[in-house]
Amino acid sequence: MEKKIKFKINPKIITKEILFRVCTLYIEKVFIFIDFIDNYWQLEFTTMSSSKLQDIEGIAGEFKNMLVSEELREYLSADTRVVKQMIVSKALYGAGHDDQFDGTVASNDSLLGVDYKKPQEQIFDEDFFEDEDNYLEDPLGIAVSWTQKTGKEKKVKPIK
Amino acid sequence: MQNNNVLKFTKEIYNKESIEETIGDYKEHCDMKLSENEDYFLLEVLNYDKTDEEFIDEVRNYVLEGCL
Repeated sequence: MEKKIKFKINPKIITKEILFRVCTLYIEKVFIFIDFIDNYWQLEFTTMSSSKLQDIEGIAGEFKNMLVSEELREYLSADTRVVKQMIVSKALYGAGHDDQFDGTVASNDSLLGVDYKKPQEQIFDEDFFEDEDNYLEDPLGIAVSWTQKTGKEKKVKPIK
Repeated sequence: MQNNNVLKFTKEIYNKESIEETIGDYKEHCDMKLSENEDYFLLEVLNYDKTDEEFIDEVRNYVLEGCL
């Protein structure tokens, strides 16, 4: 006997891209149908007789959790995207060039699609990268090794 | 109430290419006629095996899979 469950998702909170991404994970476990009614995604899940997963409420709950999780991941990813692009751009540029990185990154959404040869958007102060020492500065002393700090070699316990 | 044989696919989610692909892939199992209005693609499913209770759900799932 098939089981159905219907629920609404607010598209202002969960984007279509996230909805599709999560649907991809569940489409082989349950039959999914989506409608758009009164500015809400209206989802309908139906159990598959061929699937062992028959707890439709549990699946729906898990699905909703996954939506929130993916949306949060996307939000955090977008928040740090510029920094990640800068790091990757710098690494790629440094691998193939001896001259200084000019502090620009391509305005491409994909990290793999970063075109470091054709900078499109100036987002960092060029002077920052011109001065090599900026990378070596360690105001918090994080980069100082234990031996430098204590002035002695760390003793390692022998294995019995 | 949606007629069992006419499937409504909102244009907000589903695309025509996926539905047309489904029509092609299911041509040996049923006949399908596609039409549309402002908000929906309407897919009429004819001559399918009505003893197969999951058939319609399967078709709807297949269309969605093509959109993902």
